[in-house]
Amino acid sequence: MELNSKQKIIVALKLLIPLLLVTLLFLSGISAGVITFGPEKEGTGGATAILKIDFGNNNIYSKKIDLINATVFDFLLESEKSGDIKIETTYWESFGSYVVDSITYQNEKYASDINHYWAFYINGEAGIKGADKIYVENDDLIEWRFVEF
Amino acid sequence: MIKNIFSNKRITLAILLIAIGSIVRVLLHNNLPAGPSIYITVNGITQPMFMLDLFFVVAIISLLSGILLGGYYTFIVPISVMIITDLVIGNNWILLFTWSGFAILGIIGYLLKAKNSLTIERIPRILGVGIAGILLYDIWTNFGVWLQGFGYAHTFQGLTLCYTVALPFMFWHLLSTTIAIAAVVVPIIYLKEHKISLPEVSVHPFEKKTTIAIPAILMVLALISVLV
Repeated sequence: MELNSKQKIIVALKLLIPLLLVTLLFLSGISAGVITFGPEKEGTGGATAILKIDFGNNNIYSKKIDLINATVFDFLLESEKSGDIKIETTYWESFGSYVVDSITYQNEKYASDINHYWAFYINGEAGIKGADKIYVENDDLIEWRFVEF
Repeated sequence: MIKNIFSNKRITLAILLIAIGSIVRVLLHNNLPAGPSIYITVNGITQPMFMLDLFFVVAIISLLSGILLGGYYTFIVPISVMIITDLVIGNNWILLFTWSGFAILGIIGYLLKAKNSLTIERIPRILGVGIAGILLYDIWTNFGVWLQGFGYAHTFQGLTLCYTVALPFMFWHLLSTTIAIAAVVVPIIYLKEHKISLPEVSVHPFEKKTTIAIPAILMVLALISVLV
């Protein structure tokens, strides 16, 4: 069905107005500082942090680790290198991050299941991004807890 | 027997859509570029504005299965793509939520065709309905993430945190799928307007009811899988 010019203008406006609104929102976000450009602060230089893994039942592993430009995940992997623990992880495409499936300590495997999962905390606050996305700062306390649902 | 299968245009097109969706999703899932260096701060959380994934591939396949095939294929095609690719890529407990979400997008495509919305003057409506479908998908699947309690407390704050962390995925879904809808559906409308007709399929009333019922059943199963 051929559109007359008035109908064409209406269709064009119905497409252009929302596009304009989205562009204005984006520009407002930039001017308000909500939207920023440039790489996120990556790496914090050298950091000494305490890694604490709470397996439950008062079974706790703790170690002081020094790394440079390292994420929470890197600190956990560093512990694995020393042979103290063994980790199994899965990369979740939906989250764009690694998730810890299990940690084996003193020959006992603590694996996520329908009742448990591994969660991490930085200085007492729950991590809101993947462990491989958060950089550790000097004197941070990293806690991994085997949480029951 | 194979000749008989391919003589049926509906089945042939369904197989083609499943093949395209599966191949693209499997090939690209580990080959996505990094997102642009644009960051957004919401609720005190700064994160990239776009987290790239392949949602738009399956979303477009779902919409096309509804528009071009209708009936059972509305959910068979997208769910088949997900089953095949999840066997290769892997998935987890969230699958009932994502599969039902894509089945809903298929129904949206089917309703757009059924209501004769595939015309040039209805393009804004098609894009609007597509955007609404994407938002519905994201709200539903992230609700599932929160319900599972994986990393999010079962409180209002936990729910807002879950949706805040999901924003980069939602923005990418909106951007990529809107562009994909414009790139795919608009040419279909153009062909239709220029008398190159879409395959007409007759859908039995029972098939229509099943088409609506299956995503609803999947959604109920998803909720049960979390609550039990």
